[in-house]
Amino acid sequence: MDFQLLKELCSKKGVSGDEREIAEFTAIILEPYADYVEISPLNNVFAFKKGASDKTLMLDAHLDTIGLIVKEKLERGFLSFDLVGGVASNILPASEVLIGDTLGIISSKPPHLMSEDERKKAFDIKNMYIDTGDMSENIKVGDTVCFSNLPEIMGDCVSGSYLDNRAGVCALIEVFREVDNLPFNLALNFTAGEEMGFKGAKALKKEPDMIIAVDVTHGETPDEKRDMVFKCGKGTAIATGPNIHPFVFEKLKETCIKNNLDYQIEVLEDSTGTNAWAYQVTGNSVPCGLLSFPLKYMHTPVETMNISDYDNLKEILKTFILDLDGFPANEEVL
Amino acid sequence: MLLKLCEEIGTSGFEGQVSEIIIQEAKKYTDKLTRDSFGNIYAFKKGSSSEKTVMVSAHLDEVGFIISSITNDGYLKFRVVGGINENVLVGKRVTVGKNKVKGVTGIKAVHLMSKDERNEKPSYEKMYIDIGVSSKEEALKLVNVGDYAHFDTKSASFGKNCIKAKALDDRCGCFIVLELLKKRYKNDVYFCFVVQEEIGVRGATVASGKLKPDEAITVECTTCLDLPEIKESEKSTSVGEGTALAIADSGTYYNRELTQSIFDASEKAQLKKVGVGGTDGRAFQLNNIKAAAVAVPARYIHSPVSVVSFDDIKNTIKTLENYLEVTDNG
Repeated sequence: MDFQLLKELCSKKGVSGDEREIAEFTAIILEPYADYVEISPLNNVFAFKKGASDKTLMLDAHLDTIGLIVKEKLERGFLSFDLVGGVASNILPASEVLIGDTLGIISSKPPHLMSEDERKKAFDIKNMYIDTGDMSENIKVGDTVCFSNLPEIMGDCVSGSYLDNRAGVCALIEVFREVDNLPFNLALNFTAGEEMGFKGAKALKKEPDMIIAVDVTHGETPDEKRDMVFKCGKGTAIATGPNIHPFVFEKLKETCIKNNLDYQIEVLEDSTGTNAWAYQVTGNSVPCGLLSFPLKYMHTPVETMNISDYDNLKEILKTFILDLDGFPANEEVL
Repeated sequence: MLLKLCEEIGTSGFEGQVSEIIIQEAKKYTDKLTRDSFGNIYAFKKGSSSEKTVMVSAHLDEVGFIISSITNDGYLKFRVVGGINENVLVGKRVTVGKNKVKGVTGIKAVHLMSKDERNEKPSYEKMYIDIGVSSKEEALKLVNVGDYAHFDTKSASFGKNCIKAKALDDRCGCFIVLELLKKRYKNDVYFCFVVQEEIGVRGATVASGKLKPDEAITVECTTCLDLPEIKESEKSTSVGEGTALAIADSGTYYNRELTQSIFDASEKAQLKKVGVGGTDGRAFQLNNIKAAAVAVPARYIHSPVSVVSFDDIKNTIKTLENYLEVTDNG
């Protein structure tokens, strides 16, 4: 894992709808390794590496993150806010946030001043404010707000805000840097607006012949052991189901078996909840596969994943690319 | 110094590490410095008159956690030491044990919660600390049952003239007492740093019982709810409005004359709204000592991050210097 790169990626702002900073940062990182890099008006970053044929494999990860947005400026530097994307309000009280470069703290009531009734209930988001310590002169209504925990190493894991999906972005940059002279074109699409309904994926300009999306899925925790979660440290989750092209799924699985790489199978009976859902119905339909890191505490400031799962996903993807010898094609039946 | 005091760890019952910092600093300015077996620190400053003896104290301890068991998967179950509402505890960074092993307080992702679960207050029984290992054996190499855990918050300046940190309640008080210790006053003063306030004013009970001063002042960091749309009567205190003096809370009816004298000595003071909570003042009174509580207002106490104003700290130091009557700067 290029932890330094991951840390930098996580420090760049990119709440859905406001991805310019992270888009520019990733474009600069990719430039030396690509034939060309483009940032679309929506802030999708597209990088392209020419190969020996006209076929194109595209790798996808979303750039945007969940967060908050300033709704109103109130007295003495307090701000009211709304949520952007699927944020649970239960993690907000006493969290530290950044509004641009200004540090903010989400308010909470001390237990001493709570009524008996209040003590037993969850805090209501209506009573929460962002406290800037009277420093809101440069803040405007509509500014986006992000969590401020940069990733740290914790045991065998890395933990912090926005591993969803900067871990995916980081892994794809590493793969893109490391593979060359391919028999097909390799494209990267880092998309904006995933957390708000796969907006960036829907705005795909150039249709590739196959897409592998890289995102996060839920890691197993003591309070969640149903079969929709995956053990951390036991390898990448490879998705299968109607959203996933069987050819791509089988190839990914085969790569793991042949090379003795850990993997888990994630069954998704409907939408995968990722960009793959949008790509599948783009233009002539693009065959999609999906690789996911098991991630604990998704959409909180303490998202946690195993470093070994990161390295495993990168290895699967790299091996898959180097072994790939064909693409699913349209059939001329008659 | 204040930032350093706040970043050091010291849940009630585990004040040793923070008390080392205090001892190193206090010994530079003290006539006689002792620490009792309970952990209370006494720093004596002889006055020019021995008309009365005053005790000025702050508590060393903070609210935190103690590890109660370790699951087979390597997660830590814990109990809370002092009053922390579960609502501020989800998705936060913590450190475990004296070596400050990194961890986080986890709860399953919002996507996996039922509608009821989303609106429910998180409960301690369901919470756990994740230290990034996957088995009990690995966890035991880093931590053990009985280790104390603390919020992991960096101290920093914040907003206009404020600081944000964990444990400002009551490292802010400790800082003020350390500052006061640098000078000499009219009367004999025992500057004290006491243990276990958060679980029932226990250190102060022993310390004030032993010293039997004529009057005792606790220097605190107190509740403050000066948020928008909160009625004046419910704010408790306000940040930036000066030293807060308590009249009465759920533990104590403070000595009126003493409180008035301190109020008169202050250039900027606010009376704390009569309310709930309690301070070491309760211990002083039960030992038959005149008690007052002087406090810096702090937003969000007993959470991972609270906020105080530098002006209020400076003002509180000045208030107490005026009341104690400085005779010498050394």
